[in-house]
Formats: sequence, structure tokens, C-alpha cells
Amino acid sequence: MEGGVSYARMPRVKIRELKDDYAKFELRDTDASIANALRRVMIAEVPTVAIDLVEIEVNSSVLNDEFIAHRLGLIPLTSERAMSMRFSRDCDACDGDGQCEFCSVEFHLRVKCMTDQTLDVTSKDLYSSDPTVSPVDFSDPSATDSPDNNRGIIIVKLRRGQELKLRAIARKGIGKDHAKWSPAATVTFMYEPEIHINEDLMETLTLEEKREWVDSSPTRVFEIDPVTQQVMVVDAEAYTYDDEVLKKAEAMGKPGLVEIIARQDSFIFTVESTGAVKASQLVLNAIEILKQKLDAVRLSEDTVEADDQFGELGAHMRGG
Amino acid sequence: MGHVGSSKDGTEAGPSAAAMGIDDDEDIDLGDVDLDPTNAEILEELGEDIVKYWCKKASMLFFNEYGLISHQINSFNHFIHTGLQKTFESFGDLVVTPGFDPSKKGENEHFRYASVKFGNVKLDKPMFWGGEGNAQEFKMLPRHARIQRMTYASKVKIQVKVQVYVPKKVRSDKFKTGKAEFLDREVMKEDEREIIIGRLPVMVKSDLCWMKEAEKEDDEFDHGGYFIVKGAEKTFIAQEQLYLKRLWVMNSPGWMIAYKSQMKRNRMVIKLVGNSRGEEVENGDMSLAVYFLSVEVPVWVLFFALGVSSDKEIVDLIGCGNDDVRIQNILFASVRDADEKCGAFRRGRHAVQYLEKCVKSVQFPPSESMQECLEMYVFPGISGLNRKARFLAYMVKGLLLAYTGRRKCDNRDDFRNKRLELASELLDRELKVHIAHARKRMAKALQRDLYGDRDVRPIEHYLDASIITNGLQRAFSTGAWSHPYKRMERISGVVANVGRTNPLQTMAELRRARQQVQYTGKVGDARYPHPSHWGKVCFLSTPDGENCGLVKNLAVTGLVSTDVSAVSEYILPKLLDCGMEELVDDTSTHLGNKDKVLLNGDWVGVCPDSSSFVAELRSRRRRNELPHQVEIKRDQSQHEVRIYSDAGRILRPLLVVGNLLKIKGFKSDCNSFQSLLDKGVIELIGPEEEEDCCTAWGVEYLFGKEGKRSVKYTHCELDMSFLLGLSCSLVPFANHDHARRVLYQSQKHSSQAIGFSTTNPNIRVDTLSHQLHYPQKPLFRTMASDCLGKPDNSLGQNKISKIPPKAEFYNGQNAIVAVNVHLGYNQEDSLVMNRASLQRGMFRSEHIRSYKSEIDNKESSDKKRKPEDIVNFAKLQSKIGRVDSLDDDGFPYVGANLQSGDIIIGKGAESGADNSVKLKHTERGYVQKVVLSSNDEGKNFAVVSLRQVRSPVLGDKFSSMHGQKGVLGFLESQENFPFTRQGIVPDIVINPHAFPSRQTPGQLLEAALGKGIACGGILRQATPFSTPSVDAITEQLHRAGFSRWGNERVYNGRTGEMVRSLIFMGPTFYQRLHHMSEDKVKFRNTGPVHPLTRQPVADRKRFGGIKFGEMERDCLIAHGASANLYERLFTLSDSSQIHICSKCKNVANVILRPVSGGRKIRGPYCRHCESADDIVVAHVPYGAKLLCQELFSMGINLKFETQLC
Repeated sequence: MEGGVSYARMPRVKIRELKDDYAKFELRDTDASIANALRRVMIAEVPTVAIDLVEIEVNSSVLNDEFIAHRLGLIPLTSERAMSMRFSRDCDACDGDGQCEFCSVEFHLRVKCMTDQTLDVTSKDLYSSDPTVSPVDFSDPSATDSPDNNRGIIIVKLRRGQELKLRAIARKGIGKDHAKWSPAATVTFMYEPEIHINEDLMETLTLEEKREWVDSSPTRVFEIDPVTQQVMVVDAEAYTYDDEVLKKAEAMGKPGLVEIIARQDSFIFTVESTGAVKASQLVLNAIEILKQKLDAVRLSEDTVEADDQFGELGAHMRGG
Repeated sequence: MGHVGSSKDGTEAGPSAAAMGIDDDEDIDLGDVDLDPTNAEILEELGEDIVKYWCKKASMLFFNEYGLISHQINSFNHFIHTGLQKTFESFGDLVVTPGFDPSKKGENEHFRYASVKFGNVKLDKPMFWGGEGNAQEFKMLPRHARIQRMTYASKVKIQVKVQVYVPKKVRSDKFKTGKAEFLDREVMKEDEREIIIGRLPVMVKSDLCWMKEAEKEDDEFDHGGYFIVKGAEKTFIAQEQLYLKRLWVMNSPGWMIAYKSQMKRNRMVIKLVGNSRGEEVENGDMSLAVYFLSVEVPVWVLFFALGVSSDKEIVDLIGCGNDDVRIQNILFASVRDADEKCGAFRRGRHAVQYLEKCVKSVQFPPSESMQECLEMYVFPGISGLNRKARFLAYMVKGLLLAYTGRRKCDNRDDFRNKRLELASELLDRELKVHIAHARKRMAKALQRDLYGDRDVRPIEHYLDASIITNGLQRAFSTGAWSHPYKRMERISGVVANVGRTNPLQTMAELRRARQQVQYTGKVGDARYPHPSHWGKVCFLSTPDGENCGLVKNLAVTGLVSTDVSAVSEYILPKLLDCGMEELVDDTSTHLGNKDKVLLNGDWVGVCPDSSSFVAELRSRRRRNELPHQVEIKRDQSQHEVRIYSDAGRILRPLLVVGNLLKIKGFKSDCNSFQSLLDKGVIELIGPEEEEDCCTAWGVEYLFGKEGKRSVKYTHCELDMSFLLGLSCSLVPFANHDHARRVLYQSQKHSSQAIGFSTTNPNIRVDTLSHQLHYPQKPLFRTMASDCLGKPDNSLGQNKISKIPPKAEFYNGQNAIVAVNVHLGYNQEDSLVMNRASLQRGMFRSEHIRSYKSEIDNKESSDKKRKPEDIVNFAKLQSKIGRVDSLDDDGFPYVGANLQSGDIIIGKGAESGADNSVKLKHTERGYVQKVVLSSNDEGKNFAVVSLRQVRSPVLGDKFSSMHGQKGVLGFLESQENFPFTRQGIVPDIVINPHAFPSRQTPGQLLEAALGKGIACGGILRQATPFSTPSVDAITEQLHRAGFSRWGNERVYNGRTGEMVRSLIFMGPTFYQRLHHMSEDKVKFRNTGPVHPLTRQPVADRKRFGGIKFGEMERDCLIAHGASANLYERLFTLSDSSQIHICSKCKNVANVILRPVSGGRKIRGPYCRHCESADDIVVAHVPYGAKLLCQELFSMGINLKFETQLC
């Protein structure tokens, strides 16, 4: 980067694919620090709602209380409202014990097996006091109503006579505190590759050698044009920077056959959501959190003013 | 190597003899002999794939039928069906003679005698009483015995006949019987009934166990094979003993051949001894002497005593030929030696008289006559004196052949010379000790009642059933078992506690074998593997330390034979049918070129054509006309055919190449391993018979390349990895690892791994048990894990089939492991783990600890106690701990959270004292279970189980399947880890320095193979010795879209930059070991000290101090941290003071002394100087002060130089 040039960046985003739990987009005209910061915030700092306190009244199943509580905590809950909720430790409406509507959601589970068939207790058996916060529905809307399609996450299986009765409190949190609050199944990015084939060296290879070199890549990056017998790049983004084709070229005695450069200003992002937050909303929330962190840095000299002006932000910063 | 095992007579056999030897293994009953196909044609017809398929199918059928612990259960079943009756029958009639005290004779004129005889023995299934007043008996299941701390035992009922009689002279007609008078019994009283003589512990899942035929399993992972004694699970470790029924040729300390026996009187040794005459020393002649019945006599005299009539007959019987001058000289010297000692031994009965004179002059001569001794004690398995003479000549021949170098001395470490003792032999030995004890007590009690005035009472009065019951229980509980030879001694190492950390540990312990040696340390070659261990014991799994090489593990397909010699009457006719001739009962008939036939070491006959004889025998064994356990050995160099049918031989299944065509007839209806045995496709091979087999190690050796098919194999291994033990055969890529690493995994780490120990925790109250929350199966598979794994259709549908339940042998989880240096936190074998993975439940485990206490129910006591003395738990405070979680009955309620210092079981004595059980400072948890129970002795006790759920924390220990253990060094956030373009983040990061020095490329191969499997590859086998090649693994990875060598490009999680190096990453199976830092963390501010030395006490449980050892001291000295050292060893240890008089240098005392003015003050005072003026105080450790005082009490005074500082 040239000396003296301003550090202002104008990143551009182009969306390639967008589903409820999956997003793929390009991020250009910025560098790796921004891309990685976005990735880290999506994994660890976007708030969601998850079960945090379990009071078990009756449990005669084969699993013990801690086991069931742990499994309940890992169930993803729809968390569109999470950004506007309060952290329970900072809530002034309930003196910090996390029992009011501003900072928590109550769930109830009451199941008893009365038949000889084994009963599956699933996340669909959890009843929420707030309809906007409920266990994520994993059923496929397009499929017909079959028994396999309509089931939630299994919590425990009960035999005849066994019973499970409990009350659970769900609260707002971020993935840095516990993985159950992380909304991302995974977030990753890769550098966009630039691939240049040395045509002169390529012409010195026979057709068999070309095919052998093309097959040395474990992913399908290159292909031989059946008409012109030329090697061409069919999917540059399939390249995984594993150096297989480079090693093969060196083994064949053609070290400069191909040149692959990772562009430092183009990133291809892949976001997978657990369902608690939509993938698109996850990216937007991450950008919002990032902006708040930047604002906090800018205003850090005036702590009192920061607390007054950005009360929710201050709570978030202390939470992180 | 292409094949294992080689014929001992291979050098002597020419090509035609070798071809004839191979023909021995073909069945004659294959149909038309003219169209008999050769082995090569059989293999061509079947094809390699079909043979491989049948090898795997046969292996699965083998494990379905035999399981892993059939040797334990079969031995116990044999004991209860056959051995127990023999144990009682081995005691003859007990004749009780009166005391012959005239003063107690009473009114009767004669002394009375008694005779006790044991009859039929019966065993019931285990039952227990319902309690006093309730005469009904209930079934005792193993879970009752475990929870109620009872012994899972069955009643032994025996028919006993008691006769009380007076011996009386009776006149008879002299002309009819030839005697004027004879002694007869005048029976005064006779009693015969069935009584209970004791209780015998029952092996779980044996024929006597209720669980053998139960519809529903208590625990699917429980295979049985152990005993429950007072609630504790005990099992036998197979004892490795020398085989006593074969002849032993030794050359140390001198040349000898020994006929051994457990009974001392049956033993016989023939030695080569130097000539005693001085004038013939220059010739160096040696003569033969025989040592038996505690005397040493010339062997020639014994020959004549056994009925041989001339010297020539003896030489012909020995049959060594006349071509060796050394043998001739030995024989001449023996004759000369006999002539000198007993000149007239050839005539009449002088030889017998000479022997009688020698035997009667020893300290404890036998009571029988010499003729009876020869019949009873000399070779007791052979009938007829002339046959015994032949056997004696056979012994002499063996010794002479060994002396001249034509026969090897016997190796005591060869497995053909070993027998394993299991429940049948061990229980027989221990039971004999206690039966003898009970009989002695019975005789003594009966003797008192035989005096005139007393009446003989019923039999139950004299037979104390508790002697046998308590004796067996004590032997199981203490582990002190009776010695095999020495009557008064007891040995340890026979009984072991069954470990329940995970099912693999349990199975491995039930398959252990042990060899007892007298001295630890150097035991010669006993610790080394022997070639005969192949396929019988694992040559890798053995403990390190003093038991290295002595404790072994059975190979995965090893079976132990039971005694089928009860059918010796059934085997002998078969031998005669196959061509054996009975041994003639004289000493003059020449045997010519006939081979000897020995059955279990006894010479039973001869056969003219041993080749056809052995072929016919094997053919009948393969057709199930002989038991499959019978072992047949043809020894061409010694012209013998040895047949074994006794207990304790290790057998293993091998494929018979010549009978492979028969598998075509099975098609798909073959569902039993027994049918494979009956058809002769597979046979069980023992260690001695295997020496004659030409065994291919794998199927591919049968189908060699076109030019390499010259080896004619007779047998084939089912799988290459079956020569390993159970733990070793589950290790993936074991042949790629250093043997020591496989040993660590199989012997240590697999026993410490936390897995899924039981499917029914409600029926168990183990003191400590572990359970992994989410156990997983590994991605790879081995042949052993395929055969031992769960059936695929195990959804309760196959209840009809009697497949034994399968346990989980892999105890761990699959983790994505990256080989990388992560900021230096994983140096020295540490691991860096992903915190998010642990928070999602990885390696989370549950630990249950039980607390037991005896309680008494004192409601029936009519004592009135003062109201203030009653300890009311739940309302009042106990003096020794918190009682917040206790109910009125003194037990905590289920689900209570107990911390250290809480009372867990509240108990109060009648005096009001508080005897409650309290949690120590390291123990806490949630109450899982409260059990109130009582055992069959009427004792009541309570068990409270506490539960702890633990996620891994720093310091916990983990291990891969390749002996790579490490502790958790750092927990890293998920976003900080390097990630791939797919977003994969490793769960564990391991240091790459762990691989070169430990030589475990198997772990890298496992990760690469696992990555291919996870992406849908079909190459899944990681069986040792038949692993897929590196090319196959890399090709699978390539097709899955990854780099061939498993490396991946990763991005720095902190900065997002591309990491320059490629990082190896892949799924690896990891185990959590039960060494956890929460069990070892220790801190102490102040606490108890030892009362004598005033130094901190030792243990963590006792709140002791932290050990500061010599090496720690050296470390601080090296750093020059003397103040720290002073603090550690003095200030925090036993700092104390001592007063010294600087004038006379003696120790001053602190006393109360009078001073002027009538007052008394307390202070240091020197008695020598009688003043307190020059007293100084020195700071010394209390140990030094104690030493000074101890020396003073012995009259030694120490003086101290002092100097003010």
C-alpha cells in the first residue's frame, strides 16, 4: 500500500446466494483485517437467546438432571428480538435475577409417557411464554407432512411411566461466553485466487501430460477444452491453495507452468446459521456490532458520556 | 514370511516324505479317491474373494458362538458337571477310631468305630432366604448379590453315609473259606442322608446362573465369567503351569529325564551319574540311576523288579541300537553298577527285596509292600508291570538320545509344555483344602461321641458347612489361594477384582494369564516371547515392571480346552479302530518299526503305519467323531504319535485348505461355527500340533503369484491380526507404530479410558464409576471390531437367536486433530482444545461415587433415652458437619447438592454420640441414589451415590489410540483457531514433535483414512498387518477433494492471513483417561501435622501437605532461591525453637522454678549452670529437636556452639 494514502476504505458487497440459514457473498476493496473481524464478530459476539437456567421438578428418565439441562441449553431458539433485549445482569427491571420480560423468556416442558411405545421428547414439546422466541423449526416446508419431517431436536426418550417436568429460563448472551449463544454454525472466507497459465509452457506438454496435470488437482479447477485441446480455468474459486498442481508441475519439470496469486482485497464469505438468526440478519447484526465497537473506541476518552449516550452499547461492551 | 510353523523333522524328510506328510491333512472321505482334487485346484475353483469372504464370515461366527470369555465359563461348567464329584470322590472313606481311653469306656465292653462315606453331589441354583419367620426362598440374581453385598453361591448337597460299628470276630466253616476266623462289622447304627456341606460361589452366566437363560439381560455389556463374593466382583487369572504328564529332559545341573507328578510318590527321575570307583575315573564312564520313592537305585535293578528276565531284553527294550559307543559304555557301566550294589538281582525276587530294603530305610517309608508300591506309584496311568518296564525303557532311551545330541532338551517356556489352570483346576485345589479341614473337624467331633455313654447324633451335627463356605469366601476376598504343590503355602495373583472403567478393560482382565515365579528379577527366558506364543497369547500386551512378560493376554481367537479325558473310554476304541494296536503285556516281544501312541502322556499302544493312523484320526476329528479339542501330534523323529485331550491347552481356529470345497455346499444357510467344525472346514489347532501345520498367514499367500505357488499350505489363518490380543487388535494401523506405543495403548490407556461402562446403572453401586456422555465409534474399522461389534439388526428383533451381547470396545470420541504448534501452549505433549467443542458436550463425563455404611435398626429397643440426647437430623445441627440436606431418617433426598463437610449418612449411637459419615474436603456432588439393604447375615447397610458431571479442564489427560497421551494445556476460543476454507476448526491441536521420537505414523494414517471415510470413501479397514497402503489412502483423499497427504491450507484465526505452511488435519479417535486434575488438585494453608514429628501429613485425603521432593530442592538450589527453599522446608514445615545455654553449650529446659520473694516464674533455665543468664533461643526444625531429645534419652548428650548474629 502506498505511503501517505488515506486508510479510508469503500468495501463493496455482492450477494451470490441467500437462504434462511445460508449466505454466500463477495467482499471487495478491503483487506483481511476487516474480513476477519467480521468473521469473528459473527461467531462470537452476535447475541442470541438460549436457555440458561433449568429448574427440574420431576425427572424419572434415564438421563440425569445436568445432562438434560445441558441438552436444553444447546437448542437454538429464534432470536430476532435478541438485539433489542437486555442482558439479564444489566436489567434494572428485575434487579438482576433475570426473571422479567425484558431480559428473559420462560419455557415449560411437561411430558409423561403413558403408552408402551417409547416417547421422544423433542424441542417441539417446549412451550414458550413469548411466541417470538421458540425452538427453531427444522422441518422442510416443501415436503409433505410425514412423521420424519415433523420432528424437532430430541431431548430425551421416555418409556412407560417415566416423566419429565421442568421450567427453563432463556436469556440473552453472546458466543464468547458460551458456545450455545453462537448463532453461526460456521463462518469462513477465502481469498479469491488469480490464476494465470503460461501458455508457452503448456504447449510443450502432450495431451496425456495435460490430462495428468489437470487430474492432479483434487478439486476441479482446470479442464481441457475438447475442441482446441487447450487447458483452461473452469472454476477458479474451487482452488484450495493446496499446491498440488504446483508440485505436479515441478515434478514434470515445468516449474512455472501456472501462477496462482491470492488477491488481498477480495474475499468470498460463506455464512451458515444455526437457525436462531437468519443468515442475512446475522451479517447485518455483525456489522451493527462492529460499528458499535468502533464507536466505543472513538468515545472511550469520555467514559461517563459514553455510558449516558450509549447505554445499551456500554452494556454490550461490558458483556464482551 | 509366508507361513508360520515348521515341521521339526523337516531336515530328515525328503521331498517324497514331505509330500506324504502334506497328504496327512486331506480327508479320505472326500468321495471318489480317484477324482480327489489337489489344493491348487481347490483354490483355483473357489477364487480369492470367496475365500476371503468365508474367512470373515467364519470369524464372525466364531465370536458369535464363543464370545471372548468362553474359556472361563466352560471351565466352571466342566467343574460343576464333572470336577466337583471327582473332588469329593478323591477322598476315600473316613474311618474314625475311638480314643481307647479305658476310663471312658462305659458300660459297653467294646470300643465303637465309625465310618463316613461321601456319595453323590448335587448343586442348586443360587437362592436366598426371605428373612426370619419367612421360610420361602427366592431366586438370587447377580444384581441382588451385588447390591446386598451377598455371595452369589449355590448350595452343595452331598449324600453322606455314617456307620457306627464294632469289629467282631466271626467263626466260619474252615473247609469253605479256608480260614477259621475273620473280622466282620457288627453295625450298631447306620445313617444315610443328603446334607448341605457348603456353598460354592457361582460364576455369572454359567450353567448354574439364572442369567444364562434369562429373557432380559441385566446389563447388555455383562458377559459373565466372574464371581460375586460379598458384593465384590472377582475373577480368576488363568495360571500358567508346567505340564506334568510329559517327560522332561534336562541337562542342568546334570543330565536327567524326569517323570513329574503333583504327588511326590509318583515322581521318577533317571539320572546320568558319575562312576564312584576311583580306578575307572580315567574312562569317564557314567551310569544310569533312578530316583523314586525317595531312594536312588540302579536302573537295572528296577528293570528286573518290573519283570524283565534278561539283560538282552533290557537292551532290546531301550532300542537305541548298537552303533554308538558312548551309549554302549553307559549301559555297561549301569550293569556293572547294579552288579556291585546287588549282586544277585537277576535271580528270583532279589531285585524286589533289594528295593524293599532301600525304600523301608527312609525316614517316612510307605506302608504298602514293595509289590504294591510298584503297581500304585510307578507310572500310575499304566497298568501291568511289563508295560511299566517298557515305559521305563522309553525314558532311558529319551535320556540317551538327548545325551548323544539326537534329541533336544525340553524348553520349559514352550507353550506345548504349558497348561493353563482356570476355574475347574483352581476351585478343585481350594476346595480340597477345606474339605480336608471339615473332615478333620468331623473326625474329632465324632471321636468324642464314640465313647460308651454317648449317642452318635445326626450327621449335620458333625459336618460344619461354614468351613467350606467361609473358606472359599475368604480365599476369594483376600486373594490368597492354595499353592499347587506346597500344602501349607498360599499364593497371590490368582484372583483379581473385575475392573469396570469400561467394557474393554473388563474383557481384557478376564482374558489374562499369569505365570508364577519364585523370585522376581531375573527369571531367565520366562519373560521373553516364545515362537509357540504365536496366535495363543499376545506378544505385545504385557505390563511393565516386575510382571513384565509373566502376565500375558490371550490372543483374540484363543480358546482354552477343557478336560475331555472322561471320554478316554470313548477315545481309546476310536484309536483301535483307526489302526492302533494294544501294547503287549510282556517284555520280550519286539515292536519292530511300529510307532508309539501316547494318550495324555500315557503309552497306550503302537501303530504300524503312523501316517495313515494320524490321517484317519484327523479325518474323524473333522467329522466330529472325535472331540474337536483333541490334539494330534505326529513326531516322526521320535517315532511317536502323541494325543492330548486334557484341560488347559490353548487352541485356535484355522482354516483347512483341503476342505475348502465344502463351503460351496453351505450356500447361505450356514449360521453356526459348529457346523464349520463338523464339516472339517475349520479345526482347532493346539500348540504342539501346529508345529506340523504349514499355515498361510493370509488368504493372499494361498493365491500366490504365478511363479511363487511352490509352497503347499495345509492351513490358513482367518485373519492376520488374530495373533494379537483383544486390546491390540483394536488399535488401527498397529503395525505402523512402534511396538511400545501399541503396548501403552493396549495395556494402559484402553484400561483408563472413560467410556460407557454399563447399560443399567440402577443395579450397580460401584464405589467409583465413570460414564462418557456422548461416546462414539471410530470411523475406521478393524477385523476384530467388525466381528465383535453390535449386530446391525439389533432393534430387539433377533431375540430368538442366542448371540451373546456385544460390549462397546471403543471408549472415546472422534476429534478433528490438527498437527500444529499453537502459540507454544502445546509443548511437552500438551494439547490445545477448542473451548466451544467442550461447551457443546465433547468429552463431557459423569462420575458416580458411592458411600456405604452399616446401620442398625434400634426401634425395638425398649430403652428410654433422654430427649436431649436424641439427634434429630434435619432440625438440629450435628456436631461434625452440616445436615441441611438430610431427611428425618438420616439420608439425603435425591437431587440434593452436597458439598464437602456435609453429612451424607446420619447415624447416632445409643449413647447419643454422632457417628455420621461426612464428606471429605475433596468430595462433593448431587445425590443420585439412596439404597437401603441387608445381606444374608442380617446386617443392614445403606449406600448413597453422589454424581458429578465434569467437562474437561486444564490438566485433564487424553490419549489417542496410538499411545500419544497428553494433558490439556490450553482452552482456546473457536474464533482464534486456524480455519479452513470450509470453516473447519480443529477440536484438538497436537504438537508435531510428538511424532518423530515416538514413531507413531499410525496416528497420521488413521487421520488421513478417517478424513477419506468422512467424505464418503469406501476404504474403511485399518486392521493391523492388512492395512491399506499409503497409495490407496492418498487416492481416496484425492477423490474426496483434498490434498493427497492430508495437508490443508488454513487461515490465521486472529488476523485472517493465510498461513504459509500447509497443516495436517483430520479426524482422530481420542480417549479421555480417568486421570483428572480435579482429583489431584491440592492446596493447603494450614492443616494436620504428624503428632511425633510435627510435620505435615502426607495424603490429599487427609488434608496433607504438598510433597517437596529432592529434585524440587535441587531445582531451587540451582536457581539460587535460598529464601524460597528456607520457607518451603522450614517455615512451612516444622519450624520450632530450642533454648541453649551459651556458657556450657547444653540444652536448657523451660521449667517453672521459684525465685526470691516466694513467687514462681516460668522460663528457660540451665540446670548445669543453675542460672538463666546465658540462655539463647535458636530456631531449628522440630525433627532436629526430636533427634536431640531421643539421643538424650539414650544417654547421649549433644552440645551446641552458639554465636550471636
